[in-house]
Amino acid sequence: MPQHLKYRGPWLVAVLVTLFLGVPWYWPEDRALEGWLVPAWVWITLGASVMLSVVVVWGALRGWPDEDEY
Amino acid sequence: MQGLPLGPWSLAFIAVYLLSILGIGWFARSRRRDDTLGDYYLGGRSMGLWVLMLTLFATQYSGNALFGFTGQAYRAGFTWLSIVHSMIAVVAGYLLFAPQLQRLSRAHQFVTPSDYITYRFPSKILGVLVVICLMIVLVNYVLAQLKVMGHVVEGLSGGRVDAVWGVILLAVIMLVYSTLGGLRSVAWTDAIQGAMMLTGFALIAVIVQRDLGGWMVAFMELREVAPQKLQPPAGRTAVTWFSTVILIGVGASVYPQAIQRIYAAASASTLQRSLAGMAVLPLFAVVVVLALGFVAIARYPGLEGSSADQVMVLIMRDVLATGVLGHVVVTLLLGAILAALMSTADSALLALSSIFAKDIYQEHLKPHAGDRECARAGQWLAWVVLGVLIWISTLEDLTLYRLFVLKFEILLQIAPAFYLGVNFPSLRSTPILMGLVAGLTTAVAGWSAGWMPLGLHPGTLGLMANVLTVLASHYFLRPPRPVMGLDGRLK
Repeated sequence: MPQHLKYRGPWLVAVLVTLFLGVPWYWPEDRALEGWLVPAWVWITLGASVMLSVVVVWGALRGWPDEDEY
Repeated sequence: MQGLPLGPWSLAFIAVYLLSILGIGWFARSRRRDDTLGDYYLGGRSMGLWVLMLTLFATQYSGNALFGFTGQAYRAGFTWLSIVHSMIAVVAGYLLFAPQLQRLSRAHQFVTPSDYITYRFPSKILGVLVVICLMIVLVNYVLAQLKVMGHVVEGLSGGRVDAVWGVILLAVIMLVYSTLGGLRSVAWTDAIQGAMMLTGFALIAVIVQRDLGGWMVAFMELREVAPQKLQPPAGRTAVTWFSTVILIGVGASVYPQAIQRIYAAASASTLQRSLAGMAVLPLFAVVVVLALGFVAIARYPGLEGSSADQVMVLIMRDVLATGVLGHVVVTLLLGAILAALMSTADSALLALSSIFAKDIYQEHLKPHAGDRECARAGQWLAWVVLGVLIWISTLEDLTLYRLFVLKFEILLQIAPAFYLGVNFPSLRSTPILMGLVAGLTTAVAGWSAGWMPLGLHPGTLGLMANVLTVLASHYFLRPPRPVMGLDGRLK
């Protein structure tokens, strides 16, 4: 595997995890859990979006490959 | 689009704005350094942080973002929250290939996306196929913007100006400034549009809270009027959600016009910081647009099909009625909407023009033509294509979202060439070509037959077929290793 992908492995895993968390496929069948103003799943999904954004910003600022890694 | 009762000041502001972007075109022309294609189509590869970030933002948030996203939020309810994830995923996608691509583009002076493809995968068939795909996508893209432009001008004038004349007016302005200044004028107008759009979103959020009953009340009404719109996705819908994230996240990251902005960045650090900013913007811009669509479900019930794309207009009409600040916000937003449509269309048109100039005219029609002549040929093509598209835009009858999806079905199939090409040096041309053919066949066949097995978009299915074919042919169709013959030579 190319060196720069090895270094960015944890970042890629974080992106995939937040993407999976953002889709409420895991939500229980009864769907009765309410949150403030909107159902709780909406807040969880928005929270995952915020996390994804943070992970991507981190990837851009800290995970940019050095020139000798190509 | 329904008419908005705009005052003379609002119309005057929009007229001044349209004239001022012509001035930007003249100014951009005066700043050109030479007559090379790189200077005209990539702004001399000197785009700074803010212009790059705002032009990337403006290119990706087009008429679809304002009308299509709110319309889809109205139709689909909260399951359309997937678009927030998707727009952030676009930036994650960039990070997987943009750093290497930007460096290569500097070293080899790439101008068009296919410059990279033909450099990395020297196959004529692949090069031609990619150029055809890019041109189809870009034509589709411009067409979608033209359709909305007509509706917007018709609405602005309260039906006094026909949609066709509206399209012609805006298209001529757009062509003049983009012909004058190339990517410089396009990027500068994009930056103004991006700033106007973000300001407009912030102000409309304040007005909904202050003058239209508030966000909390609106969401409480929504729960009573349409509780089914708050349901989480189940089964098939959840799969479609994943599919949407892949479709948009991967597809939008290889927009030809976005690839050219990667080439145009002044430095790696400029691109790096611009992408970091891009990852934050959807949390504000997309969330506000979606929230407006959700609020509209309770406020304007009964809209179906493509008429739901008009909810933004209905909201603006209510905002107008709130007083002076409402007029200011709607005027700003209308200016931003016009600019969004024009900037997206002009970026796509410029990319189309560059592909014709570099990949067709200079490559096949007139190999010894200089850059100036090629740019001129590209400009002529832009004028002709736009004329034809204006005519087509009066004939088609597709909703915005359907147009929006179609281009991703094709774009997605080009993505492996970028994503895998920059990261896996041993990958050869044949697997990429076979993958592209497999992906395109699956995606186009699926799209025309209306397949969505398990809730997956035809484009996502095509991408799966594409990547599997690339991997299979890479590992199983390796060229035979040279063996040493009895005479001591490699065979």
